Amino acid sequence: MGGASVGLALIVIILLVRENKQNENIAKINLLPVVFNSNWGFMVGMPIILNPVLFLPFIIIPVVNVLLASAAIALHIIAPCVYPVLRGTPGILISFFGSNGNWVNLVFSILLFILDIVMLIPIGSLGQRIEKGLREREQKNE
Amino acid sequence: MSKNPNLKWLILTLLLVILLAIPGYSWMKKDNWARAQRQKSVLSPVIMVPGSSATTERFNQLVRQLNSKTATKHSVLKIKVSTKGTLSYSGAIDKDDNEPIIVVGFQNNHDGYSNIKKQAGWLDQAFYTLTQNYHFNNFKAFGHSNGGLIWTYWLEHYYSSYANEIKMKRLMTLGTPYNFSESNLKYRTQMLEDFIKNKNKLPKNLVVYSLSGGKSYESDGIVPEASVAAGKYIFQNQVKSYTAMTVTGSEADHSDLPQNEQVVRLIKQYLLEKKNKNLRPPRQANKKRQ
Repeated sequence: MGGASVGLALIVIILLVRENKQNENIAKINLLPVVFNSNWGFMVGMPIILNPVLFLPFIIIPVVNVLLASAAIALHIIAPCVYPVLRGTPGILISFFGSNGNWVNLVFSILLFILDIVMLIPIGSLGQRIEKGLREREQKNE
Repeated sequence: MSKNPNLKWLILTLLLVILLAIPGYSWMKKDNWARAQRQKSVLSPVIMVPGSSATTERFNQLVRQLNSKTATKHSVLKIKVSTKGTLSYSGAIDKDDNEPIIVVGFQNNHDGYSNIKKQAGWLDQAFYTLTQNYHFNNFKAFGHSNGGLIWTYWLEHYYSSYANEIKMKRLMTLGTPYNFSESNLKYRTQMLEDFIKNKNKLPKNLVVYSLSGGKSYESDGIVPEASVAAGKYIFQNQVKSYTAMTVTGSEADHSDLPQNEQVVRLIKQYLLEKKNKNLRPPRQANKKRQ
């Protein structure tokens, strides 16, 4: 349940706030794979892996997700996921299917997804500002 | 604010996910229900495979002898697998029978390593169908002569896909020629070499009994004792325990072994469930203690 929706959250932000044409194309191509939980194309294409702006949120946000989810399980709000889930299940549906169809799990996953989007908005704008600054410095050097 | 064209892509994918989630949801419910049924069940069948040139009728007398001394009879289901892989059934499993006997026979029951490989594949088809129709999480296996070879090949090549949910508790092979008819252990057949090569695929929690018949001092009339003893190179130090026994006396030649009184007693003692075993299903976690 942790890292399942953070890639999708970033794609949604990029597609809705259209600033950078290149990023938008990458996000459009990777929309379907990330929905069905294959994040690697997106993580290499953005890039996310060694990109200091995007890499840290991609680690911290899933940790926050997992902490919130385990707190919710401890408080018996949602059921733990003990059932096997097929590989390729969309990230948001994993916890829903894993708990044998508990609707509260679905609501909780959607809420976590919205929370991921909210947490990524400032980081997305920070990334754009840094890129703009880098481009300006390149133009100045030429 | 101009209309964002990406919005329509996002909404399309959302609709696609919802569309796919509906059959996914019903599959998931069905699969989890079957999984729960399997875990709760107390059914623990004995699956028997006869040897070469034998049919599903091979064990009729053995079953009769097993049932003659006990109050609860074992019901018998016979499955015959054709060369095309289609199954035909005869007999039935009684509703209250928790330890039925299932005999799996093959239309092609000829000898030889290549046939053993094919028969193991047919055994797997019958086994898979059994797991779909009956819910059991453990079973016992019995093989007479080539039946033991078929079980060994199945264990090494097909068992791993079931091992998470269904456990083979005990395997008993009766007069099984692990080295075919070769009586000198210095010369190993291809089949024995392959069995030894793949022996680490055998389940570590399996209990194996290998029974050998003794008519002369060398064989049970057909299978050399050294060939049956070659099983030790396969099972010893690989499975939980490997016990080899030699049965002599009347009806100790190869074809009579399944009817041998001692063999029947050994099957009852080692293969079947103990009489006073607690066969009640595990208690539900949320039932209150009284």
